[in-house]
Amino acid sequence: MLKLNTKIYYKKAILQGIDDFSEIAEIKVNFKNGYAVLEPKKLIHQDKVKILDELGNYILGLTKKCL
Amino acid sequence: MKITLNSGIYPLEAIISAAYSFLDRAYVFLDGKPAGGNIIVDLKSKNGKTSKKSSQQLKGEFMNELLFNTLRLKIGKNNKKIREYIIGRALFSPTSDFFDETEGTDKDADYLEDPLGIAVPWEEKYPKKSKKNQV
Repeated sequence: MLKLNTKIYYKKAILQGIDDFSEIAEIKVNFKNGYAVLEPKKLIHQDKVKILDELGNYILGLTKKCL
Repeated sequence: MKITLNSGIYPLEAIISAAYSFLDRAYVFLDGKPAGGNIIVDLKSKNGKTSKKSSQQLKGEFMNELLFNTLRLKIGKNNKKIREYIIGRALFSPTSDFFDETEGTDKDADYLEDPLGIAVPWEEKYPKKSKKNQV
């Protein structure tokens, strides 16, 4: 599970990141209490922890571009 | 390794920029309150090195990068007016003033006229002095 603060990470970037990772994993997202909770459901040849780390970095990159 | 940063000193924009430059070396997660609170930066090395020495080095490099980005942001803000003025002058001045000034002269201009004396040969313009005068 990955919790991202929506005051820091843009919602737009989070949704774009999930969409871009959709070929590697199916990710469920829930926006609650100022956080976006991301949970991978189906994975294709990938480590669950690693994919969340990579996704976190990817979303941070997208957030930087949104600034 | 977690680093707690005061958002009053380091703006969120600078923290994100510094974190962005570390994406190739570490997994970076940000949390906390950007408005008047603390921002927590969680750095996890990608190469798996978890020793205290390598963590400290990573932290030090991150803090340096953060300081650089903070200063860059501050300078950018201070120079905003002059930057906009220079770009404004460069982009918009020629379209209005330049063509107005040259419009009248273009019509009246004749290539045979030489008001500045450009076509006058050097010898005519600066005649040779006699050797006596030179010595």
